[in-house]
Amino acid sequence: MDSNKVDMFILSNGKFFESNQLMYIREQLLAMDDSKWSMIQTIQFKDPTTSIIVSILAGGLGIDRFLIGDTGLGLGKLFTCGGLGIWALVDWFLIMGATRERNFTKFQQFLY
Amino acid sequence: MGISRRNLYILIMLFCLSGYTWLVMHLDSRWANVVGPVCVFKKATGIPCPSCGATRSMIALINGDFLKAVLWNPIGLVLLGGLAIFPFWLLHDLALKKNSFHVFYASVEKKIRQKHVAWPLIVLILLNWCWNIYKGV
Repeated sequence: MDSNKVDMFILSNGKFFESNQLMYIREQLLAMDDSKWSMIQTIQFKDPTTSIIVSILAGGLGIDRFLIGDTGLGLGKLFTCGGLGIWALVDWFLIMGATRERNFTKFQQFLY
Repeated sequence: MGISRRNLYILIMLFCLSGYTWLVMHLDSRWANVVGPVCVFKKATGIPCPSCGATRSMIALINGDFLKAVLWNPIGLVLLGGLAIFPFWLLHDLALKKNSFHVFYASVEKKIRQKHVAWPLIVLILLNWCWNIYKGV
């Protein structure tokens, strides 16, 4: 794919991924067929900033985990008062990374 | 998409371990009030969260009082069921190098995401929450 398009994608979507994943994403996009561009452009990613806000406000109810698609973990959190409050606290620090991981998985699903 | 087998098994084991520690602590009257209620939501807002009362429910069930357990919080039954089954399921998987629990977890997650399952569940949990607030757990 055209490197201009790839840079445009990285610029507008860079914040949704870990920095170490960006190089891989760039390589994959460069090697990708042009016909997939329109599809890649339309993927909706979850914003890590949104998930940290949700985590701080409603992390004890597991809403942050439901938001990024970890339904099972969300239920676990909801049923245990946010893992006795400890898990809710730990998730304030983990949720942004987890969101980026989920985004990366989603991106990879579109590759193949 | 979803959690890896290794992470899931570590997480569930931590879950069961802390769950059993918590239960044993609350079964012994000397330890029951050392930590006290930990629900952040209840402390912050003054109203109980959807799963408040689950510990008391589990204790009631262990003492053989099913009705009291349901009245405290039905979620306690689900949790105690999980605590009773999951450790053995995990051990079975680890011993035989299988991944049946991971497969089960993924299929349940997939099922819960379907609209016709998700909405009734959400309504149930909200109703249970309203009941919790009404009871003043």
